[in-house]
Amino acid sequence: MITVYSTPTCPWCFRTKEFLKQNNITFKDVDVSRDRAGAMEMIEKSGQMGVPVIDINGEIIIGFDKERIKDLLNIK
Amino acid sequence: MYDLIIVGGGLAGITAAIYAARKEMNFIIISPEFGGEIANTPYVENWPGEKHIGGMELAQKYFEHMKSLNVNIVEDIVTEIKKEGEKFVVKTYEKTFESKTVIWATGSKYRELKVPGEEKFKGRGVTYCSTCDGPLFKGKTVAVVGAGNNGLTSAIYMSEIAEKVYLINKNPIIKGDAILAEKLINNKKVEIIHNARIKEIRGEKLVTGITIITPEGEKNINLQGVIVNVGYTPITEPIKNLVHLDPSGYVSVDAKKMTHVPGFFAAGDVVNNPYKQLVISASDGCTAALGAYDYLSSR
Repeated sequence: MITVYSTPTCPWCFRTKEFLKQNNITFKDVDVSRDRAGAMEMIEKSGQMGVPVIDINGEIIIGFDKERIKDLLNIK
Repeated sequence: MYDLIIVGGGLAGITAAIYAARKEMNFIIISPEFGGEIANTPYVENWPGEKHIGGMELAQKYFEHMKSLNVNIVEDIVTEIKKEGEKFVVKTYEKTFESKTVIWATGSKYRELKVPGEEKFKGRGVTYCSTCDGPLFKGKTVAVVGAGNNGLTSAIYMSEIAEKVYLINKNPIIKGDAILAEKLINNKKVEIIHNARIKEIRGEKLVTGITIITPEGEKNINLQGVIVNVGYTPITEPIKNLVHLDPSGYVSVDAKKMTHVPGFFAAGDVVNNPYKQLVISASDGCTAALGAYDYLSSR
């Protein structure tokens, strides 16, 4: 299960989601600017007030860390 | 061996790539990401032809323009550039490339405040990008630090989201554009504090407040977000032993954007231009690409 916590205006969120889409990876997109519960969930998981936060099967990635995402999802 | 290697994927690099493609030069553009700093700006209102456009949207538009010209894109980070005889050897994390000319257009990264609490609360209430993280401060109190155009734009944007916005200005007057300042002066949600510096950012897990120093003394403000917009520092680490940098770390160039190293050009925010503006980056990218073309033609 992959969740991307994002805001609609954040360029790194956009890049993260584009990257996942290009690699045919399905994910749940939580818009934390609208979804208050989603925002609280993100802060709890990551301790962060910054986006994007990516949850890959419980592994929390802060920011668009392409190498870590590639690693966790076995993208070459 | 390439004719040209462009380093940097912001507007200066992309404009250089568009011009180089139209001259049918044999070149690549290397950058880990494309779009540049403007993608982090909520909106742009000084790009001729676009009265009001989102920063990310504009960045996406010029990236698509470049891609439509079948430009050879390398997604990587340049770690070192050396001149060996007549050629430049450009090392990235993954590969080594060779070229007759280089355009260095890496831009700059945001400057930090360097105050206690900043490092600890990065991403925990301290942010450098209101466009990215601003929506998380909906209904909260924030401080925008810096009253240049970036800080003013952030403060305007945050006043639409946050409950209260403090604009912390180190100068006695606002140095950013009057048209932006006017939007803040009569804004009931915004309180501008002049002649103020941040002493400390406080908090527990997340930010809970700041202490500022003003001519009237120290003052504590309770808030949840600190948006730092105090300027930029140029990215020059891989070329610091190759070209002359001015005392602030910017690259010195001539009228054709060539450095003192023949064949090595620089463009955009990394150059010691007096103003850092989108149109200036585009202009620099164009001049550097045509300059590189002329340099090769004359040899």
